Amino acid sequence: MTTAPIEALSHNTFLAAAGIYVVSAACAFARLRRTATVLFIAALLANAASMALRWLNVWPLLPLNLGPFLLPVFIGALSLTGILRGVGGWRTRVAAAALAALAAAFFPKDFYLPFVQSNTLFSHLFTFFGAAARACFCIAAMEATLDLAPVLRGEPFAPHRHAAIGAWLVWGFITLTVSTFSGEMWSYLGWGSPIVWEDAAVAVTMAVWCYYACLLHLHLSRRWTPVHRLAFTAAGGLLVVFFIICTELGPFQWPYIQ
Amino acid sequence: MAVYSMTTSTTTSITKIWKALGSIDFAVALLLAMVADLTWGFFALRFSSNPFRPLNDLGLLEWAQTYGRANLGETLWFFLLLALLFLLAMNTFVCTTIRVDALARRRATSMPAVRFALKLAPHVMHYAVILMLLGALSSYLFTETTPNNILTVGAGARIRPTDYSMRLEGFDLAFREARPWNPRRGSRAVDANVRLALLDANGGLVREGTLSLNHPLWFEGCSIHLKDFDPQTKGGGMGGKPHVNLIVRKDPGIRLYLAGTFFFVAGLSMYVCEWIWTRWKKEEKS
Amino acid sequence: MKTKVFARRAAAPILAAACLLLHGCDAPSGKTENFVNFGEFSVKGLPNGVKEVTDGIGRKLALVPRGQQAPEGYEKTEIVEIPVQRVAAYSGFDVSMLKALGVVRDVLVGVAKPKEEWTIPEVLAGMESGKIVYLGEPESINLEELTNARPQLVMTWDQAIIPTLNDLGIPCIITTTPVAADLNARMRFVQFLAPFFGREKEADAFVERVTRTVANIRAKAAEAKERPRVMWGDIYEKRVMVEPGNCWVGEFIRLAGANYLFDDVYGSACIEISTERFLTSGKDADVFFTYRGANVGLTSKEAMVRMNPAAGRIKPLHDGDVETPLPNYAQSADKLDEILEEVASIVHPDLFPKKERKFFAELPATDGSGKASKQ
Repeated sequence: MTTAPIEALSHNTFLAAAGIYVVSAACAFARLRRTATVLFIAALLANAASMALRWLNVWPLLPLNLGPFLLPVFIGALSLTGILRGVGGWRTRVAAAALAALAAAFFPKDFYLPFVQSNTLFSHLFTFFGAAARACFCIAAMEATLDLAPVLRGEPFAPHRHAAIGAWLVWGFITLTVSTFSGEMWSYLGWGSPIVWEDAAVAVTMAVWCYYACLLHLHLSRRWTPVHRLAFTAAGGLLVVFFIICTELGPFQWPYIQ
Repeated sequence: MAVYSMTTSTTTSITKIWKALGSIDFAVALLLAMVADLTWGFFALRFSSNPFRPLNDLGLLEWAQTYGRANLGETLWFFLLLALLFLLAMNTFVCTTIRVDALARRRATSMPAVRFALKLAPHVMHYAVILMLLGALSSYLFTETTPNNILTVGAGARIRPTDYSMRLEGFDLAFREARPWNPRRGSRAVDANVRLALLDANGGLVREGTLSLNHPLWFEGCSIHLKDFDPQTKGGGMGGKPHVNLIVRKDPGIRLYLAGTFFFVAGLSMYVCEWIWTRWKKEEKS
Repeated sequence: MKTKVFARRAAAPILAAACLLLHGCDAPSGKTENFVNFGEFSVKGLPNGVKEVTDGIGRKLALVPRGQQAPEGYEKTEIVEIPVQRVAAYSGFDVSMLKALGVVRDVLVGVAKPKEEWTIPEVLAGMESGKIVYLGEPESINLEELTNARPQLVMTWDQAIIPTLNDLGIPCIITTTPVAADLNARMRFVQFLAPFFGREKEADAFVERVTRTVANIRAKAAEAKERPRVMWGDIYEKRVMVEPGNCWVGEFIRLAGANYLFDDVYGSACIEISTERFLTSGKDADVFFTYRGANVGLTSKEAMVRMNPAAGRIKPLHDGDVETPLPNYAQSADKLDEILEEVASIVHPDLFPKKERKFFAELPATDGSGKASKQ
């Protein structure tokens, strides 16, 4: 076989991580908090190790289409304190990480070989912060949905996590901006132009940036109540999931051990 | 009396337009329209023959009159985006100017200098966006690009649009070391160090320069980028002579664009500081 | 309210600007009255019958009617006098396009393959008579032969030859593109070449013929009850190359009523992907079109597995079709309609009439068997 040992190890470690995430989520919903937490940390470490191996294997080039594999790491790492403390919605975050890992395992798109033009720090920053931004927006959307649920049931609005959601949005916007600017610098240094309109991903990244720029301005308008803003945040999650995360996934494939 | 009335009415109209132009609701509407338009663009780019590839080489005007016009079904969203960006730039300028003006008035009465500086953060970002848009527009309108300068060792090409030229002196490939856990990784080049002689119109050597992937060479207002090289594997290649492919661009808008990027990052950093400080103050109070 | 007022006032200048920019924008896709693009290739009309063409890597050349003064702004090797009378061409595809235009016998003077590798009768006759010369392999073109052949244009895929041709004062066009051509661009490439030779009518007739064939295949394929799974590429000792989904091959397979297994792959023709992906897709494949044929040692499925044992893991190697190109396939782009019909009949033998195979051969199971494994 032509697969290098490190590639096989990275692949198998990720599959193990995905499996442990799923078991952790099952434990979380079975109210076995301690077991779920321990398993979640194990999955997170395995996932991070798998990513590190992928990066190490092709460094200084960029492993391509890494986003879906990085997403559970960021959702997990950014939620870890909340999960350890058992804050409201911690199960949802465990489930989200598991879901993201499963999506990456069943719909991989990591078959492109690294290309030499990715030999710059900016390409790595672009990928790294891009995944961080997606995780922040997904967490914000989940929190917003949890806050909205009682309202939809007819209960009075009580924004428990309002400040926290704002923080996720701000950090998401910051990391998305850093990712976008890193991508632009890469494009400029490599090809002489900061923006290249060839890739559909450019359009959708700009769409997401505009969406969250808009969201961060909504509090200045009286037309947009807190409930509207929460709904807008939740809808942003759909935009990120369908137009960024899903487009980074490949065709369905049964996972297999290499 | 009539003249006075007309002047007052004109001033009122201008004020109304000015305020409407800077309204936050207008900004929200524009941003949402851009989201919708870019989503359309996403589908147009994903499921089309992609006529945008020559845009950076031709410049906006020539591209609009050729590929843009000839493939309107696939490019209309982009023209709409340009119009929306124009309106957004206007809205951002007016809105920010109104707010900076108000902030400056408050600062005159009661605000400490540091607080004032931090409060300026969003406005720095907004002005930076306008700078970036202006830079991008200048780039698209005035950049002169020679996209594919194929050079074999000893061969030369003019650095358009200048009268200078370049000659390829040679290039060395950089490889990664093979590792036991991946013996294949040593066989592919990860970079090429290209040595160019830069010549004046009479063929006299001006200076020598080097460039590599993502490390362009700047010369006489032009940037020279290494687009590609061959061979990329030890003892292999596409079958032709070893060569490099260079992009030459004279882009008058890039400085403005990069300045906008720099100010945006600066504004963003200030905003983060202000945001953390405000949260910390709130927590302290509670 | 204020927003509405502003929107009304702003709408007029924006619409006016858009109309100015796009005036005359009622043209069909890819074409205006003086511009047409075929994927990355384009032809733009300039005053006095001059045309500006863009080749596969974005280089611009001026096509100037013979005897007329060239417009300013072009280097000597960026000016081509038309109609071109002497051409050197590297690939079988380029030569077959000249054949589609009906000019191969008149204009071809040099090729970059030895006589044994040619199947086009006009080329063989030309090489025999000495009118067409073998210029050497692409990486070592004999410059003396090239100079003696006095081509007015070189058609090539090899970018590295450009500086040499510039020194010799010979214009050239790159006939391949960094991103694979889709079906429309592949069909219409001949219309890009036509202005070089003043053969626009022949090019239009060719495109019309192929378009009709594609339409027929599409209509018939709509009746397909099952969609076989097809892969197109090859597995070598250490590398795997495939045709991406954006390539004309992928597009055609889809419209011929089959599923192309590399639909989600995007990029240049013959793109390298990971071996794992190739093998994973191959597990479900029914038909596998390879790049190599018997002339380069791929004589059986057994031989393929010998070259790379991993190939044995894909389904067509033990339960399906492996189709290899015959030597004339790469030199038959002038018969694109027939190629498409043959591919359709391989993919859907139930829908399309079985014809004598001209371009592909089914790979036998073993070297001695002489017949396919499923038979």
